[in-house]
Order: sequence, then C-alpha cells, then structure tokens
Amino acid sequence: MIFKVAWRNIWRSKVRSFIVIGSIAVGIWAGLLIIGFSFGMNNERTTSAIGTTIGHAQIHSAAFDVEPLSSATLGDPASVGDLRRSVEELPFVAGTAQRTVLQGMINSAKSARAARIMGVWPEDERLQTTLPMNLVEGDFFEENGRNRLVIGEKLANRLGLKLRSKVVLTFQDAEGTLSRASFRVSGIYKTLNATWDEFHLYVHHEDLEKTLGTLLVHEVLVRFNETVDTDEKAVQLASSLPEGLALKSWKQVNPELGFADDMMAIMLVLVLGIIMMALLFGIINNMLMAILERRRELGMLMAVGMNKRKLFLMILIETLMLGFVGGPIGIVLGDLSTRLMMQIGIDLTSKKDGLAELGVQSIIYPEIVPEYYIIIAIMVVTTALIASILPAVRALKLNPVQAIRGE
Amino acid sequence: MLKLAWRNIWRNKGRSIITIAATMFCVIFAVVLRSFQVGVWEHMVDDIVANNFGYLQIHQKGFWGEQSLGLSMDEATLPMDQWAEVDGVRSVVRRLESFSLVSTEQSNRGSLVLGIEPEKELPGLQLQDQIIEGQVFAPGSDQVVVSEGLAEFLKVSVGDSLMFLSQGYRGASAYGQFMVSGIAKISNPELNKQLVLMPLQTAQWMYNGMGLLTTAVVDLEPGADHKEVKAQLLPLTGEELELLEWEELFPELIQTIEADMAGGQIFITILYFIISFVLLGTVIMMVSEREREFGILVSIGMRKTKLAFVTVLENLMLTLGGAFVGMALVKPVQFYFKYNPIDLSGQMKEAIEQFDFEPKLYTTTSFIINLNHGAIVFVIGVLVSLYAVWKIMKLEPVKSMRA
Repeated sequence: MIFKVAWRNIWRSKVRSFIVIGSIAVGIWAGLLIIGFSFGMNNERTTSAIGTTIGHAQIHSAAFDVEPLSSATLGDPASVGDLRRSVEELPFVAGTAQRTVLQGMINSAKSARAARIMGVWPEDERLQTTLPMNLVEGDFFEENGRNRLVIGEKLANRLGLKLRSKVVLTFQDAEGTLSRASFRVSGIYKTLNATWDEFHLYVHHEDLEKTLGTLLVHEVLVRFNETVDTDEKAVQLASSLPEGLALKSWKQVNPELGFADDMMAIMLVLVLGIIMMALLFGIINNMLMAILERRRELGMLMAVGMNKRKLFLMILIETLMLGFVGGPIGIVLGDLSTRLMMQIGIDLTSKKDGLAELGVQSIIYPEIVPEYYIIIAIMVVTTALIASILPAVRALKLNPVQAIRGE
Repeated sequence: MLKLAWRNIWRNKGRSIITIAATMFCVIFAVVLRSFQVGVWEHMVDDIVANNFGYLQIHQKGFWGEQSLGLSMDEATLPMDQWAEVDGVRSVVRRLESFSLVSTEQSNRGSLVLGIEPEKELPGLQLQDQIIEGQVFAPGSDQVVVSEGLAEFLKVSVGDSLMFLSQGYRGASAYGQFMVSGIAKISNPELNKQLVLMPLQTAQWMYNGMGLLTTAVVDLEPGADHKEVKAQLLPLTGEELELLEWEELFPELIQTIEADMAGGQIFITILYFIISFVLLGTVIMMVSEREREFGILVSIGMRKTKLAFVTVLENLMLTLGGAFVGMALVKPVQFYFKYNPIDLSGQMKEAIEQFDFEPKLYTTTSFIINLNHGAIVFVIGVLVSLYAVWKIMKLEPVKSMRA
C-alpha cells in the first residue's frame, strides 16, 4: 500500500521528482567523472614511468637495496646471464635488461651536480624501455665513439650543457676508490618524469668498464607482458630468485608512483566527500521545500488515518524510488561523458612544464573505472536517503488540523 | 518594488531560509575545496621561501642559472649596508653555496653545501631549533652540520668526519675534510635529503675564494611587500648583479603549482555543476510552488515583466544573503585547518616527501578565495533565477490558478 502511495506521489508532482532524480544523477555523474580523471592522470604517470625508465620490476643484490654501493653487484657476468635466462623463462616476463648503476657527481665547466650513472647495454635498453625514443637531440649510442653520455634535458640545462659538451663524471669503483672520467654529451633526453631527468645519466657500459677495470652489473630490469596484476607477478618472480638477490616492483623502485595512488585516494575522499556533502544539502533543501509545499497533503493523509510510522516510511520509499531512477541515469551520463572526454581530453598545454614536474602529460584523458560505478551509485543513493530523513522527521511534526488549513 | 520583494521574502520564511541555506552551503563547499588546494601550496611556498631561501636574492649576474662559483661576488665591492637600509629590509644574509661530492669511507653523495653564518640566517637555517643531535659548529671551525636525511644516507653521526670533493673558484679543485658537529632536521624535505651547512669562512677557504659570496639573501620585515622592496633595491644593485624574487628563483615551483591548480580546477568545475543544479532546483521548486500566486497577480493586472523583476530581485537578495553568510561562516573552518592541518601518516608520508612537501594538508585563510567563490555562486544564482523569468513570461494565468 505504502509503495503504491509513494509511487503515485512521485508521479503527481513531476517537477519535484525530476529535481531529486536530477540531483542524484548529477551527483553520480560528477563522482564518476572525478574518479575517471584521477585514475587517468595517475595511470598515465605510472605507464609512462614503467615504459620509459624503470620497468615493471628490478632485481638487485640485497646489499644494493640497503645501500647502493658500487661493490654491491649481482655477481659475475656469467651468473647474471644465467639469472636473466631463468627470469625470461617465466611466462609473464616479456624481457630483461641489465645495467651498471653508480652513484656519483657530474661536473661541467661551470658547475657540478649529484647524479646516478646508468651504464647500459644500448640494444637491451632499446628493446625493454622507450627511453631511446625520448631523445630531443642527438642519438642513443647509435654512432660509435668513446665515452658518450646521454643526459636529461633538465640536468643539461642546469649544467649549461649542449650536444658535444664535455663533462667529468666522478664515481666509486668496487673497492670504494674514487675514479674520474671525462665524457662528451651525445644525446639529450626528456621523459615525463622531470625528477628522473634531473638525476639520471646514461653511458655505455663499455666505457665504465674501461674506467673501473671490471664489469659491474647492479641491476636487471624486468618487463612484464602487461601492466596488470603487477604485484602478484612480482611476488612470483621474487620467489624464484636465488639467495642474496632482492626484487623491487615498480612501486618500490619509484615509491612516489605507488604512493601517488594513495595520495590520489586521499584527495579523492576529500573531493568526493565535499561533493557528496553538497549533494546532501541540495537534496535536503529540495525535500524540505517539498514538505513545506505538501503540508496540506500530508496533513490530509494524517487526518484520514495514516500513522506516523507509515508516513515516515512513505517519504523514505519515495526517495529510494527516485534514487533507483536517478542512479542508472547518472551512471549512463557519467559513462558517456567520460568516454567523450577520452576522445577529446582536457587540454592543459599551457601548464605543460608544471605537469612534467608532476610526471603527467599536458592533455589529460580520463579512464573508465567500472568497479567504482556501483560504489558511487550506492554512495549517492545513500546520501539521498540520509537527506530525506530530516524532512521526513519534519513532516511527522505536522499538526494535521493546522496543516490542512494551510497555517 | 524593492519593498514588495522584501515582503515576499518575509512572507514565506521557510522557503527563504532554505534558499539562503542552499547558497550558503554551496559557497562553503566551494571555498573549503579551494582552500585546501591553495593552502597546501601556500604553506609550502611559505616554508621554502620565508624560512630557507628568502623572498629576494642577489647574485652575480647569471649565477642562478649556472650555479657556478665562477660567478660569485667579492664581498668588499658590495654595498651591503646600503641594501640593509632600504625600507622593509630587515637584514642581508651572506651565503656561499655550491654542490660537492660528500663521502665517507663507504659511500658518497652529491650534496648542496651552504656556507652560512647561523646567527644571521633566515629562521629555517638558524640551526638552534633545527639541531636534533650534537651542536652548531663554531664560526670558522672545521666542522659541519649535516641534514638528517643525508646523515642517514651516509650513515654518519656526530664526531665522524666527511670528505668533500668539488670544483673551487676559477676551476681549482676543492678538497676538505671536516668533522660532523651536529645533525639538523630541515623542514623542507628536498633540502633535508642533501644539505650540508658549514661556517661561511670555512666554505670560502675550501672553495679557494676568500671574501667571496655567491648569494646575498634579502631578509624582509614581516609584512613587507617583496615587489616593493625589489623596486627600491634595483637602483642599488647595478648592472653586474641580478636581483631575483622567489618567483624567478623557483620557476618550476610556480609551474608545478599552476599545473596542480589546473587539475584542481577540473574538480571545482564539477563541484560547480552540482552547485548549479542545487540552486536551479531551489528556483524550480519556488516557481512551481508559487504558480497559483503568480497567476492571481497577473490576472489582477500586474505586468509580467514587473512580476519577473520582483521575483528575480527576491532571489538575488536571498542569494546575496546566503553568499555573505557562507563566506563568513567558512572562515573558522579555514582557520581551523590552517593551524590543525589534516595529517597524512604512514606510507603517505614518504610519498609526499618524495614530492617535496610536508605530509600535511593545510588550508589557506586568504579571503580572496571566499570573495571569488561567493561571487561565482552569486552569479550562478542570478543565472538560475532566469528560469523564473522564463516561467513567468510564458505564464497562463487561468491555467496556473487552477493548478
């Protein structure tokens, strides 16, 4: 019976129902769009970092993870080769690359900076990362020559370096003695991650080998076939490693990427919370107005014998029904506008440099995250229900006689 | 007319209060969201600029771009006293800054080395409050203070010695071995990872540049406008020197802030969609509820334009009232979170330290935000009341009176 009355009430005043349905739909729409953008920004940052520089996981010696000393290698070249072969046999591994990693300083004629020196096997790097495609000037060890250096654009600018400028690199050998060697800039790269660009230098492993006297391999980068379930894959990979070696997933290598997820989650809670609050008050307002408007009608219902409990229930059921209509509309609207935005993107080109600092491209594309559709819809409908409680309580306090008279 | 509108407002108090409340909450939500977005950066800039780098810095022309000791200033030739006398300048702080490889027997790291005089420094580098272990170096001694993060990385504690290797003035090599007299926690996470502080004279000695300074930091009186001070200082610095304000010192910071703000703009825009909808809802309800009243007024001879005008006027008064109340009521919230920021603990902490800001969400208390968003909500209120105009203009008195 109450359902029927509630259903009729909804149809009797179409404008009011339309407003509540609309509020619910707009709330869901907003929630989906915000989540879409947050995920879009974040995933872009992650995929770009994984693809260009860090890979899905990295293998180091356990000692290297404690302290990245030159002596903390993965063992002699032959055992590194065995390691790579065994890792590549895993079904989800697409490829591996090895690197020498040294902590050091770079000195230009004018200035000096701290840097991490990556001694690379260019063909490995070309297969497993997209860094060689991110060169703004010069090339990635394509031409022959000794002591060539590929440097981030940002660091190059800081040090006043151009193509073919000469620099001196200082680093420790395996015994801890400082070595120096001069290099010439042969390429300048630029990734989306400005923090990486400012700190990482690429040199050919052969040149480091000559200076150090031995070949040191500190790092094996592992690329998975897909960027899904990376945590599970990393755990599986880690369990297959021999004693003394440790695996770091991309989240551990570049914690800011993993933590950016958390950061985003907190900002999302804040933003969604504020939006839900706005919605809550919007609906409370409308429902209160509705009660004001319906004094006569509610008074009449009470006068003809509807008890207060039923009246209260009736108002809640009305809201719930409106929610069931508004919910799907909101989801469809949100989904459509996210898809539309995926086509056009939001252009923030004027903020390009700043976004590069944050590791994001200048055109932001949202992403569809279906897991959240239902959650958001439930949140919004719950919000609407909560919002209808206060007006319903107000309705209970009506005095039927006065209400019918319109006082 | 005004009187009529005023009376209408009072005639239906319930509805008026609801409209005011709607506007008020819209303003509050918009302002709170924006205050957080702006507040986090405001706090960070304040920390970096006011405590560590200063609002204005003077260097040899080109130094900031190249960070090279070759572009340092001879203190004897600088009119420091004249600069210090400019209105709004509290003092001029002398520094020698450079990068150096700092090593222990086991490890090394490139670090920012600042030669300073702690007692004359900016609040963030006076060291008394920052030292967490050991003590401040004595002026001119062979001692250094290492930032907490760097000390952890190098695994050094008070009493250990550190080797410095860098490039000195005019390309000479710069070497030094100094004892760690103290470990300091620098509030800026980026600096905390890489800063070494030593007495100014010791730095000059190590870099082979007695009497040389790279940087003169202009410390301002509280409340002084750095742009005004800059204008007064400019004629005193001359052609050879560069006088940079913080916006020029840290362009990347500005860009990052702008980019983050642009992202925040997306969220604010979405919030405004909801706000518009809430306000529109209120107007639609108002019109549908008063259809009968409007019908009567029109049929007894009130011109529709006049009626529409009165209704809009009513709505404007209510929206304006709500906007003002909202702007005022949100103030305590802003103050509360400025001094009691939301603390993000646990893993989050490391994340934000990597991004170089403190793991706390602050709000700003700048009233401009309240004004801006109060005004935007008001404008939305004006736009949605056009719905009432449209409804009144196509009103059919007979039909609406029957409703």
